[in-house]
Amino acid sequence: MLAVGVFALGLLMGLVGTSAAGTSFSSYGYYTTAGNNYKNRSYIYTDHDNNHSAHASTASIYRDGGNIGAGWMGALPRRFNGNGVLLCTGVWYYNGGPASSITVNGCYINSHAGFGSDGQTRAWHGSGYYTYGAFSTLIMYS
Amino acid sequence: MKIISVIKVVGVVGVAAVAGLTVGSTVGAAARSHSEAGVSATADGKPAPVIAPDYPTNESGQTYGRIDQGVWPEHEPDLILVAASNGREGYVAKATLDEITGANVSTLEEAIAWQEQSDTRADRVLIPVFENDGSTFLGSFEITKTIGEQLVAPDTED
Repeated sequence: MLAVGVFALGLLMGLVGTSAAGTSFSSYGYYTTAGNNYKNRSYIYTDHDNNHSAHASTASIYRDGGNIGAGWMGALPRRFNGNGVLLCTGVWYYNGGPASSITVNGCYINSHAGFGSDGQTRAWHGSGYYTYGAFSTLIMYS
Repeated sequence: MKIISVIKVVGVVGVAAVAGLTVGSTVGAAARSHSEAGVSATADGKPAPVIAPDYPTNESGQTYGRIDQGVWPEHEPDLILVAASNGREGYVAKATLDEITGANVSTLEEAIAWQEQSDTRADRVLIPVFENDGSTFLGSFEITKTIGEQLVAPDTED
């Protein structure tokens, strides 16, 4: 009986424990632009214990190995509320030199509320940029 | 005899704790992660078209509405639904938003120049939020500086 109780406690700790880390990440989105393969993703970070802080992140990752040329990738962090309404946006960040990935952070806030992230990324197609929406994260409470 | 019993109990409890923690962590991680999915795109890589939202128009002829996931930038309304920092919902002008966030960057040279100027950019810029008439002020919307990091893959050509 004791063993069952301890197992249940361990199960609960395992389920809850790591979610206290306060990060929700979206699925990866995959796309190909001008023959180059990329993936992107949104993140929302919250920290209940650190003055209810939160911020949004977006990542763009070049998937073909090696580096992509300067300016070929862009990323934008955005943070929205529990109703899906945009609360804040960062500014676009481009890789200033050859890079394999970029990760951008922005929209920092200290507030006790629910937040999500749905960043955007860009890829150079030869004569301009295509913009891709990263998938949304779940709502996290700061 | 009593010592052996105690050792047995401790052993069983320890194994149960480790098993519980392992199963819980695995199930929890699986529940939190998402299956990989693709971004829909056309053959040349352009984001796949979604049905252009049918936004309402105000008396000044400006479209207004919410930008949902997957909407192309060129299909976004003139006035974009946001929440102002005072909590009130209203609209910001897409043209203003695009100008300040660098969404108008359209060449590699502009992108590199934009990036080189990032250190000079303000930590926070506030732009006005209006009612859907595009002129009645409701509050301010926050655009923050972006802190970025780029990783460089090691050169494998030897």
